[in-house]
Amino acid sequence: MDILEGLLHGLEVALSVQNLLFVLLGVTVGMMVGVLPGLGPAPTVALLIPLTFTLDGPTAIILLAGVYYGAMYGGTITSVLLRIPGEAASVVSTMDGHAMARQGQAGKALGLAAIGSFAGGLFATACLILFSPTLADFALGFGSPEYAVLALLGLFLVAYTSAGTTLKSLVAIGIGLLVASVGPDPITASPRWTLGVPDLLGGFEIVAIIMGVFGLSELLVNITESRRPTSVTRTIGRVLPTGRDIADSAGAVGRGSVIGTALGLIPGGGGVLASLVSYGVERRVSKQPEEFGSGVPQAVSGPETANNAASISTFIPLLTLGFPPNGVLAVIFGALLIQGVTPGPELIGDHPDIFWGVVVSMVIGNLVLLVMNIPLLPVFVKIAQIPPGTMATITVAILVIGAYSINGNPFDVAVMIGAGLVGYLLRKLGIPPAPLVLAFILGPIFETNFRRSLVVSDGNITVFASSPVAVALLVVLGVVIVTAVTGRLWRMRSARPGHAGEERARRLP
Amino acid sequence: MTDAEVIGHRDGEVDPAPSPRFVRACFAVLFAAAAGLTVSVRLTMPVGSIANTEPGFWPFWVALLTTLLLGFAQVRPAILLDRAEAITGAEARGLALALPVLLLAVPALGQLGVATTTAFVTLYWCKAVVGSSWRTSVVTAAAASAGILVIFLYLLDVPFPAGTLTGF
Amino acid sequence: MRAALAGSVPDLSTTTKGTQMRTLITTTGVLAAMVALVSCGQTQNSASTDDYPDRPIDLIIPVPAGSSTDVSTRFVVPCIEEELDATIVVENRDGGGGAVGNGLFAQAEADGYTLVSTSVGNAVVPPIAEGGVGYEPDSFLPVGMIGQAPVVLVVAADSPYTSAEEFFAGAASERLVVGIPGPTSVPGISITALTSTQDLQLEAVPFTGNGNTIQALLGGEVDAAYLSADGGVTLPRIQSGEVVALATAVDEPAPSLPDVPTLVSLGFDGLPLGDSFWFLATQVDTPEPIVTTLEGAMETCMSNGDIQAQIGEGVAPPEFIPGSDVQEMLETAARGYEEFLQ
Repeated sequence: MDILEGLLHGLEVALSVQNLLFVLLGVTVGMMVGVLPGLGPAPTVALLIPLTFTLDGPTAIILLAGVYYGAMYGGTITSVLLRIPGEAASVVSTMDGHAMARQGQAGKALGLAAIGSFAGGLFATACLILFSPTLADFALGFGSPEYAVLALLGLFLVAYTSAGTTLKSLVAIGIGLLVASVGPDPITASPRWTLGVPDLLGGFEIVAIIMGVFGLSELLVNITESRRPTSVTRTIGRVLPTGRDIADSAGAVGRGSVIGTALGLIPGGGGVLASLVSYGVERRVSKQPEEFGSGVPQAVSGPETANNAASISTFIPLLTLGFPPNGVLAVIFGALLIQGVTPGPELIGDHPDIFWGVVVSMVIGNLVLLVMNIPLLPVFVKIAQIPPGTMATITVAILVIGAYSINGNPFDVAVMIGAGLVGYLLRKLGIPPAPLVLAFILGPIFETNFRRSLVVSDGNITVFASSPVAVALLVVLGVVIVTAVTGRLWRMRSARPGHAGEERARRLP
Repeated sequence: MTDAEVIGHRDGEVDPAPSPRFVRACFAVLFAAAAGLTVSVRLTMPVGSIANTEPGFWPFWVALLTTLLLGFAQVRPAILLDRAEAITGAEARGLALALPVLLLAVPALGQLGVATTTAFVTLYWCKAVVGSSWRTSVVTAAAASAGILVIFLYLLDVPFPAGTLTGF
Repeated sequence: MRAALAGSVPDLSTTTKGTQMRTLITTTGVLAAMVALVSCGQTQNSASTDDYPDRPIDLIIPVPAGSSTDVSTRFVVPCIEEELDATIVVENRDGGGGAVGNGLFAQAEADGYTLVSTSVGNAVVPPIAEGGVGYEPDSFLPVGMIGQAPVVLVVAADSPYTSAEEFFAGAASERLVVGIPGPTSVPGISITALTSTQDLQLEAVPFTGNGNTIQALLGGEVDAAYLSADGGVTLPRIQSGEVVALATAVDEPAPSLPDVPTLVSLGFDGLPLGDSFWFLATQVDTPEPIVTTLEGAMETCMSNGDIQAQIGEGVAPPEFIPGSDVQEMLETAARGYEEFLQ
């Protein structure tokens, strides 16, 4: 299926009444999630998984994807107006965006962010359309050795790009890998660490782990916040930016689109990293870097463009290689498994409905968000006022019932609760929870392909350097490890927006 | 939209720094657990070699490397304390209130069924964990349960097993 | 506007000792009520055979939605619903290679209201390989075959081996790698039997499912693949000529691959049943009239040409295979696998 044919097919899928409704529902929920502090996109997408059980594959992913990029739009609103990032990728907008709001330019900041997000979203979707089929074709030629090296590279990149010290991320990865090794051995099928419990014979249910680590732990971390609402006033001001404002931000939007799309591809990447890097780049190219922090429009439009572009380009590794680069995509990985679809290079060919339908829905969703953003601003601001206690009550019930609905097995609920408690303790210890979930997915991919390669090669370790692709991946892996050990500044620390933003970012996965 | 808005807001709070002793104790426990797992894999599963990998191969190396990392962390307090947060008294109280209902929900789902359990969990959470008034709690719990049950049971038609005790 | 909104925010910041006390009492009260209810005993639903079925029937599928067992079962379900005049609730309870769903089935009341559609591998392998999964291979009372897929040995079209004789001659002198769809799949057990009874240098490498295994074969990673000839992945690729079928592991030439020799005809005796089949079953203690009703419905539905076509030519049995025949095959398979599953 060539691209044009694919797009037409995608239009057919995305324009069905049901899918239009669900893209609308997805982006609306996403906006609300972005607006509500505390509940990030990963926990929300995890909460929505049970709702996708009875949906068709394309509809399910259209809904979940909409929540993700919708949250990127919504997060800006509270960052700018209240200096509270609704989700982590909007942290940088609490700097200049909020400064603009204090100067009565909140509307301009929000308008620029929305237009930038739309441009970035379209650019990333175009890249998704143009490169995914080629990349997937290329990946179809990958054998077990290539997959093993790729998964290992993914694990290391997750460690180095996650918030916090690399050592703690590696500990989170170690825990995730160990949790994933419970269940049948992938080569001999002999049970490991099942302790004679029948429920453990198949290993832990991925959706229960995700709901616990992202959803319940988030709820427990914020458990005291349900008790303390206070209030504050803000003005919004004129919303539509002028032609001049747009021209001033065009460069920032362009750079943000490219940065965001590129960083979305990297394991551990996604919105948070993209917005931080874009902020740093904008400050570096600016003629008045000292102005940053006091309300520079480019410091809002650039990062907001980048985070939305990244939220879309993160789908490229998932839909072409079967590798989820961050927590939200890990959840979508789980949702695809529930649909009976194993993400991998065969996905585009075997399930064109899903790939092309989702891609086209992204264009529609971004359009809806751009149009909806501005007139509905007052509504979304009010949503931020829902008492956190009420939200918490609804969330806990969805978590319990949702985990139960996976297989109708109370054991999954227990797993969800256990994962939530582990996630809570890890956060308290400063260990980021997202690498745990990514390792839970990548670990079995690595182990299976690693050991399979060795069986095929009769125990010959050089099998991992037996093809040009494998050698190239090994070189990249070596570079990453060397840079991390020697420099450990790979994460562009200079792009940090300062202590306050960082403090907030660390709460979120 | 130029009107003034009033918004719930949680700015200006600083998370309390954790007690270094608590963090170190937690990491010591993690270290001990990882070391214990390493030993248990070695004893209970065949590990094999790279030429002939056995089921214990991967768990063993992961557990061993995690143990080494945690061991290294023990002697670097700066790394241990990075981004660690204290569990405040209020939070501990919140957790103490939340845990029993979460743990009870597991057997309750099987015996009492989905509807009864949802009603209990929401009511309990709203009243005890959030600390709302009885009236607010009953209203919120009823609305939340009804909403969730309508979505799962009627809109999505999820085939939940009936509670063995209640029959629904 | 400001005043109204500010007023709507409940003031929870002042917590006094009194309210704390009340919270504690509430907490204890609600928890105690739950404990009391949870700890009460179980009630039993008694089965009545006369008006069966008078309520919805649960049909457990112990594999994920979208797998071949699941898809073909769902083609039959609407017809059975019509025959029985009852609602059938299909539940996918995957996990543990079928152990979770089959365990739930075996522990349910033998009243005809909890059925299972399982493959021979999922029914036989977990209880033998793991044990303690809550069921045994003889916990199933089959009421009819749904689909069959013989295990077949295939090579890529450009393989140096063009016949089974050449392949096995090659395997006698050099190490050949054979991809299988899973370690405890029926082909997996069959190849273990082959390598342990014959002097062949065959190395079995498990992949995940038929699609993944065929991909490895086409990518040149393995020399051959040994997998079930299912209608979704393997049969279409044999028909298109991408892969060549060398031999089947069934006793009689398979209806879907009539020209392919069987391993038996090539002189490999004593192998376990190399046939993946899946069937509808109820518990062994199910009252006789209910079993008869179910089997009758299955016979009507599985003889329906439309349903056979949906399940796939060569996959759906051309003639209805009744429960007793399925049970015999199941017993044969269980005996055969037991020997090689250690």
